[in-house]
Amino acid sequence: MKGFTHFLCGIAVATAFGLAVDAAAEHMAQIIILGGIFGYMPDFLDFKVARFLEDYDYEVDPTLEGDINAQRIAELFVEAIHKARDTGKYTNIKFNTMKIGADTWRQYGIMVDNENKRIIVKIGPLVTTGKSPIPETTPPDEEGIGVAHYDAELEHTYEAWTYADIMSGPDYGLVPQPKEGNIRLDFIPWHRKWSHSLTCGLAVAPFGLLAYLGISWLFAGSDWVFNPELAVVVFMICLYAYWLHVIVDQFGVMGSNLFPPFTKKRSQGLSLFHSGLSIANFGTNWISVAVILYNLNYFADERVFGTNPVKYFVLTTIIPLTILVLIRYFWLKKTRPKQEDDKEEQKFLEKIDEIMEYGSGDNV
Amino acid sequence: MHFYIVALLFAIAGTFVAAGVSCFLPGLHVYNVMGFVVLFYLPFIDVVEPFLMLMFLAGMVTGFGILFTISTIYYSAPDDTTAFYFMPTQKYLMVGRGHEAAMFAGIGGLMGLFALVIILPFFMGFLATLRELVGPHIHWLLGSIIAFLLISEWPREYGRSKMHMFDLDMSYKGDLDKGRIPEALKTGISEWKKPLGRDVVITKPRNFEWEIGDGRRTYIIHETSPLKDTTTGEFKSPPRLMVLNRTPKWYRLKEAYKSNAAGVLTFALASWLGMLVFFKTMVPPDRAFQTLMPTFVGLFATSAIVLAFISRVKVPKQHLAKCYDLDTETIAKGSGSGALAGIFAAFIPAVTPGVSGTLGGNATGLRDDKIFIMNGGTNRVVYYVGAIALFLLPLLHLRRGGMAINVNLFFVPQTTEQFLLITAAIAICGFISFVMLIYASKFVAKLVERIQYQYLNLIVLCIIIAIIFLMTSWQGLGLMFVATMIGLVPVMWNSRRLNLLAVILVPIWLNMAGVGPMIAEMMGLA
Repeated sequence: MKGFTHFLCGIAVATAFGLAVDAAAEHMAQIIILGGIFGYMPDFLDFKVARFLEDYDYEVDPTLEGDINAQRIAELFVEAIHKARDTGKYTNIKFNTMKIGADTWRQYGIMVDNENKRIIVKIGPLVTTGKSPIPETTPPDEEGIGVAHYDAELEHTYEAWTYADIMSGPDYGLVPQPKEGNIRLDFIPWHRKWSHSLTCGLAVAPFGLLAYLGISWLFAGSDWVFNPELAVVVFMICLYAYWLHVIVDQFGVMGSNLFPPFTKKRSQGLSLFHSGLSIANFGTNWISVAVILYNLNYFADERVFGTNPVKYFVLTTIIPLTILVLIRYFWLKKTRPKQEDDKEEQKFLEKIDEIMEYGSGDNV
Repeated sequence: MHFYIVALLFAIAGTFVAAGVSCFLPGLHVYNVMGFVVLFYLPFIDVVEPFLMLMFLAGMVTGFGILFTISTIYYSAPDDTTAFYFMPTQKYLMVGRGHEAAMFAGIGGLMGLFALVIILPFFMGFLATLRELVGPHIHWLLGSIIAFLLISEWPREYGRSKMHMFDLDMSYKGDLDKGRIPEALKTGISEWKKPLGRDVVITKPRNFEWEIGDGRRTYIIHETSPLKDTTTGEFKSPPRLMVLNRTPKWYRLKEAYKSNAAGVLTFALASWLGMLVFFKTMVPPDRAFQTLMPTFVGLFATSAIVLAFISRVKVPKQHLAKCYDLDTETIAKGSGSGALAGIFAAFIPAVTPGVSGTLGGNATGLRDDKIFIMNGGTNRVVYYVGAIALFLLPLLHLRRGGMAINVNLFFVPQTTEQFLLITAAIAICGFISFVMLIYASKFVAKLVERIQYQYLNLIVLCIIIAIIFLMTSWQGLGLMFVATMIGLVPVMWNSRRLNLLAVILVPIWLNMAGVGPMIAEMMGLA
């Protein structure tokens, strides 16, 4: 799911605590914000921290070289595949982006053509940070394409271009699987490794409590009194918001490693949709807003509307979202040919969506 | 003449004023123009009926909503609302499709007007309930928006894990291949870092790379790729041996977060400026109602103009398309998300279309330049025109922002008839504005082709400086200068421009949370 969707889910969790809503309305407390922050936290830890702490066996770095050679990049990828095959050890490779100027990057694409056992690299045009290509900057094919053949069995079914263009580039983990007799190609292997887990939530939530205690002490000064009941609520908000992020992500394809360090592998998601799907994000946000409004009304001193939850959620959530889903279903049926996406492809799309969350106004 | 017709004529006159200002006085904010119009009107309040004046303002706001896109696209002079789609429209301008971008925003604006005129009246009961419900909770809502803006900015650098120290002559490659460590390498390393210990080992873990280490430290010698010119067969760039140092993890984080640091700095500086403007009267007291004007102009318009000026941008020939590549799905997604974002901005204090558009884009997960521009066009029209519609909407009468400050001085909404008349005026003025946009955009597209862009930017900058001086005296100019410097931080360091909106978000949030005066006192402002 998109970061904002998780943020809003976290806010919805926070409003489920009457004490937090009451403190916000009566004493201008800002506790509810913590729900949003901790709802967003797992993605923050992955995409804004963990990815920069990863060490790579192989690294393509055109900025460092000051030049880009498609053939060399393709050969390096093949070398990494062969190393994983020969050593039987996990090997990873990172494709760094090539920064040309303050707002200019050189795009290049990588494709794993598993059917023909080859890696294809193609140098693309210069692009702006908004990914807009600059005309007439694509090199001619004889300089811009590199092909290298590998001799290994790869488990990778998504045959499409992955691009390294702006900010941090893509990376792959090559996981030898002796039982299957092949090498699994993991895209952004550091994602959902430990951050999207229930155990990590337990470890991180106390920091939310500390932040609350610190800030409230700062503003209250000598009048500060420790309120154990509110402290427990703050801890619960941080923990449940974090956990809800982990749970919501299980509806996607990728799943996550739920109990590290006790478990090592990512469990499979429920595969109901991939995380970047507009309607899934919109629907989840709709539900979150409905929950927030219900809770604000429920815990208000003077309620604005009736509190029958069945009636409320049927009217505000189930009926509108059903209509929306039906409109989308019939619209797609009418306008697009039926596509049978396989699970691996969906999983790859989900990762692409998450790594590409940048956009949608983020670049403003 | 019938009163209705007179009222509609007043609205249309307002639209023409907006068109003139949008096309010839770029950078002006609609609420500042509105402030001056009201100032000139007040002495004549007994002569011209207040409702007619409101119709004039409604027409003006509608015109601004649709036509201000001209300033943003062609003069690089966005305001706080168009800054949201400034970057994608600039992309369109730079590939000769500025007119197309203007049309996308205009069509988005028309869809926004449609939503306001046709759909809004059905939601008056719901909006009244919503206002009552969320009223006591606006402070944490604003705090949440600020928190999201801060934590959601992405690091824009890639956190390089190797750092170039020096080059080694290619003649040493043979030594490296034989496992011998050249003296020049040892000397070079000791000049950069601590000398290697005794048990130095050299390995070749990868093609084109050797690693040299003493068990504590490891350095990489990387042979760069030779590039040949395909026609002459000569080396375009000969191979080199680069000696690299593996960077520590904290260094990668530091490098990755450079742009984020600029974002946080922008946010902090804009917040400080906001607190300054809210708690100190920076312009002459008789112009106090215009305090925000130099601030906004500096943060958004002049900073963009200065950048366009110094970067020596050349605007290519503009293609004046006769039809536009827009499908129903793009229109539905762009205008749907824009309308939701716009009504959110119109409803919640301190939230402008820039912020609500970002939230809306994230909430719906939409990603496409056309959708983005349409979303921006719908969003700002719903925000501006919605402020008037919500003010007159029976059961609600919501007073928000600059519009309410100005209109409250002379008008109190009373009847449903007034609301219906205003919506009719909005629809008519919206149509007229859109037609004007088609021709104005074509005219200005040709203008930017003929006049050198740098001169055009200089002319626009002079106009803005003159207006600010006339309206807020030299104090306003000083404020604009400071705001421009802050506005340049995100564009120079490639961080998010949206952080500039802290100028309004932070002071209002702190005031609503009841700690504004306390923090102003801590900052020495009160």
